Amino acid sequence: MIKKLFSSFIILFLIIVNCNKVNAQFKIKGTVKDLTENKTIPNAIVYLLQPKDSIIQSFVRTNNNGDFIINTSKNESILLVTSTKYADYYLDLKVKTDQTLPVILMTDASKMLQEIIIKRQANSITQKGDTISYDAKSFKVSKGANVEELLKRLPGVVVDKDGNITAQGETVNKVLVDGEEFFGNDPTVATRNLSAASITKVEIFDKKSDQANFTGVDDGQKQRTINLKLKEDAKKGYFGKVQVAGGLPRQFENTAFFNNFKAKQKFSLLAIASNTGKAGLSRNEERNFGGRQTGSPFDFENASALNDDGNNNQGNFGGQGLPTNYTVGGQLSDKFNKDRSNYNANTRFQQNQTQGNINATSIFILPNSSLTNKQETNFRTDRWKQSAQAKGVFFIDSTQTITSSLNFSFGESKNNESRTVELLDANNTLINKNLRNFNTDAKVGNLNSTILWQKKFKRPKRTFSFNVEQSFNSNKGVGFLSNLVDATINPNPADNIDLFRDNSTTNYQIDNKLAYTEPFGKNGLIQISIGYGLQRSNNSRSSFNKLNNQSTIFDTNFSNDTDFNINNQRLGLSYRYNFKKITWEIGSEFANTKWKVTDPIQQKNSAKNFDNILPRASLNIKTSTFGGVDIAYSGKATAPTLSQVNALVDNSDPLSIVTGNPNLEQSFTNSYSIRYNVFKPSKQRAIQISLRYSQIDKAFSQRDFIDNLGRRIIEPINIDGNSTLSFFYFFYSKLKKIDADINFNLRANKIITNNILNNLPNKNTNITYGGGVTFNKSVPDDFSFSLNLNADYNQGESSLRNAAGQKFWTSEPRFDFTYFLPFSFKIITDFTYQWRQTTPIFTVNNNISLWNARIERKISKKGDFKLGFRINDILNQNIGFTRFVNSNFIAENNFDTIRRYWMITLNWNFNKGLFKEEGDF
Amino acid sequence: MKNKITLFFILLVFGATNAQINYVSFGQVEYEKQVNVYQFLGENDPTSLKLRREEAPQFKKTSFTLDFSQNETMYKPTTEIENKPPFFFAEIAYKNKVYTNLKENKTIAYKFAFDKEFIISDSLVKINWKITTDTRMIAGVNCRKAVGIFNESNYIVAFFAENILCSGGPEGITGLPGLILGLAFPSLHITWFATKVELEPKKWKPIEKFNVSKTIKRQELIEKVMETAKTFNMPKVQVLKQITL
Repeated sequence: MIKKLFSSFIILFLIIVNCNKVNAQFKIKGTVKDLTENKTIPNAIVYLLQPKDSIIQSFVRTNNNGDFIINTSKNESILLVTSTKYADYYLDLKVKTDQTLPVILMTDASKMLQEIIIKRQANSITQKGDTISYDAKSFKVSKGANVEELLKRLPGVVVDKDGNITAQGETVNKVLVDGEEFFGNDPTVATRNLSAASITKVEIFDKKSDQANFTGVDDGQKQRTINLKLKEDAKKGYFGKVQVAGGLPRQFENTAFFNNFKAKQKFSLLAIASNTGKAGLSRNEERNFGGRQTGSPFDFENASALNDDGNNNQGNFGGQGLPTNYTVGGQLSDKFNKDRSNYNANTRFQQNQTQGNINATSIFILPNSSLTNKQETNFRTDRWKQSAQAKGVFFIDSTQTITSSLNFSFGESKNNESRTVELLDANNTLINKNLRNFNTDAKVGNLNSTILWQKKFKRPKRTFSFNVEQSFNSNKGVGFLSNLVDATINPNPADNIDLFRDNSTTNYQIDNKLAYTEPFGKNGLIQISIGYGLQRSNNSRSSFNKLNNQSTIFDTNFSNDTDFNINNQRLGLSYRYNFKKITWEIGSEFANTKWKVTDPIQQKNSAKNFDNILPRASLNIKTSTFGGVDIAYSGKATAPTLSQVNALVDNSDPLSIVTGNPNLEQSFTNSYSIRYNVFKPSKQRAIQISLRYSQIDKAFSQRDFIDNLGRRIIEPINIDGNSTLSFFYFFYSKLKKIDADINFNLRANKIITNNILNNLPNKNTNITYGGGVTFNKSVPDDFSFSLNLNADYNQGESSLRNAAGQKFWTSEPRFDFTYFLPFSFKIITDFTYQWRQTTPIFTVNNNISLWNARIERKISKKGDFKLGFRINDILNQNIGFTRFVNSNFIAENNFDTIRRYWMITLNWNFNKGLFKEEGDF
Repeated sequence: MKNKITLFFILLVFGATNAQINYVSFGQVEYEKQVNVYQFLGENDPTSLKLRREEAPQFKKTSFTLDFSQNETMYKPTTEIENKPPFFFAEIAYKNKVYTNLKENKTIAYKFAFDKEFIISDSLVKINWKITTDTRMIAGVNCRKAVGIFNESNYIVAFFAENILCSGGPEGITGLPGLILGLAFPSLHITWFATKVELEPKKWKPIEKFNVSKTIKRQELIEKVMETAKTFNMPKVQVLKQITL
């Protein structure tokens, strides 16, 4: 109390003393100006500080002319002038009379503090364990940029034109927002819709499975993942964007996106209407959607060979034809129970319509002749899908958690297709001509669920977990198939088809796994697991022949009712050792798999029983905090799919008939890999080298038989001798002197595949060597460019036709350029040239140049409205074209695709004043 | 009216000459006040330990609003607080209302101690401030860090917005050239951080003073509270903490 009183006295005393001194005050006058622009700075703060402890004595602000008057009673002071955007200005003052100071010139901090900025960049990348974390504000992007633009700035991260992301040489499979999935699995929803300004950190890591995270036993399931951390400020309000765009010939691309945060609760809405392929389904999505069902039985995957994919330049849309997409969706997530429990649910409705024409030519090169198949197809598909996903983590107590997820979707896919097929022999004589119509209307439904219960015990590393996964898929459709043969060429009436088909595929799968871990030794851990899985799938097709225009007669030749049941039991044992920098693991699963194929219609039955040992070993040595060597081996058994064992003769294409093979056996893959990678954040340099080899016993391949009428019969078989060897080297470095970055890669692959052609074994060997270099340089608000040069040498040969071996070069240089013009205009352009060397087989040059450009300008002061103009494929060379080659098979496709168009775009980014693009109001 | 003219003028002059930097002289700020309850009560305090056992949240968060103009500020809880006993005395200054007149060096404050209401009318607390070069973004606004000492031993850290032309801040903490958007009181384990800065002139209303009749000085409050504390048999330090603000 006395102390307080005393201190009050002192203060009082000081005030009195100060009051006395007021009489002896000096006036200091001055003006504050910008050094470079020589304009006055209003509202700058002028302080007088006490020299001994720099406590503020007084302060004033400059008036609108940059002038100030400040009073002082002290003889010695430090004058400090501050103003946003300027470096602090200090001056020692000795005051004896009133005085006017010389003009105070302030320096723009961004110009003066370059050294400090460089210093900050060194810390802009940090690492914690296996996570690299980028500080978003250190990587400048232009105002209103989305996350994709930000990712492109990050060292070691590459984003291609389709939005696919590669980080430190590995493909990123997941993009999370604040640790949670964002609208399912499509990363572009987050990267293209979230504003870069809302992000504080970008984290890159390898996500392990939930179970591995919990038990600490690596099950080898890793996914390179990006986590976008939102700014705290961004999480207290709403933000979003709206784009309206339209152009000619008939293009539109409208999107709206809204995000609202309320405490821990997050709510998002998304709507898309587009026919440019750029803001609709990404390539992944397209696959999830189910793809176009052409009814064409060519199985390109198994005949893998040199794939000259000319169609990868049409934005996001991976397929053929002209797509129109509509999507609406919503997502809700919340955390509770002190953030230890959370849920995340989303729903989406998608509608897609695609139509187009395809001209396909394929040539089969037979040991002593050849066969040409020419097809003209006109197709249209209409699809819709309603999907919902929910995931929840429920915290029971500090030792127990339940994680559960539920996904379901249902939809419809309608497909109409008409096709003319011509077959020509080696002398180009027409030997067969068909007219085919095909339509289906299928209803598709999926339901998946998982429940994972995890329990920890008092003893560290002792854990118990139980995992159940279930899935149910159904695809039921009806449709017509008709085929009319030109009787003047092929008089075989059996090839005339007029069928009504009722097709149904259902699949039910459940898998349970119980795992227990127990510490063993000081640094070791043992895991014991048992698992049981079963699969019940059925495919049934009922084909009816038309009689008197009524589809009434059941056609047993093209009908089936195949059941495919798998039962699988597993016992797993593994040991993991971790000490300091070394982690190794060795283990094995012992599995018994039984399956049964039955078909009462085709009267084909088979039963198989396999006992497998599935060993696994890995060694990881950390050579630095973010670098190490990984060596791994694993053995894996794969069961065939229902469509492979199906006892059905599929005559969807009468010239190319697929028969299932109920006698297929399992295939077994041995994979070996060695990988070295190192990343030095301080030097911003990364190196990655990997060598992988896998060898497959009884690989799934196919037997082709081509008759003299050119009809091809395809049957899946098991075959030995397939293998893949690949080498990859990647180097990334920042070039500090010119503030640019460069990455460089070398790659080599050798792929051996086997198949059987007209009863003769055929071995295809394909070797590719290649390399590429990418150079990026960007100056914020000025320009950015990226140049990619690459070349590959391809070599392919086939044992059946040694002479048909071919060697050629391919290259696809690409140039990206963004330039900021005066008056807030911005130009963005990219150019790609696709080149391939001609060979005796490919005598036609299909080299094309693709050039896209757009210009945009901010039309509001805050930069939240942007108006743009875009031309896609300026040279109009984007012919839809793919070419597929192996030594005895060449296929060429020409199809409708999105070509030249122009478009006017209007963008509006909004947020509720909580976070700003920059530090000022 | 006068302020509206000022704003118009400011917008006219600065909006036109320099769209990048705008200065604001009135508006509304919402602060999140956060008390580290465990620390405030003391690590080994029985109440604190009990709370921890019950897994009660470590941080008690409440929201306060500050209306400000160039010369006046009004600080009060964002929502009217019921007259219930505070949470184990840890919610220090849990429903304080503070009016300051920066020009006239005056403050009127409604304070609550042991659930009694006191109205204090006094001069502003004199704080010795030191400026640093650190800056930080708070609620989207660039703020500079300053450290302050008052009443000899009370040490505080503040982040003030150089672009807001008001010398006020939460509670009665004043004396910096810009508005304080972030404040930490380490010895009390309390922080205030602006979560929302409204600078829309439309919403601005003149700041209303309290109409008060019976007021006391700050020193009188201390004496009165200490008296009451005796009957509760509370440690002195604990009591002083309650009324520092």
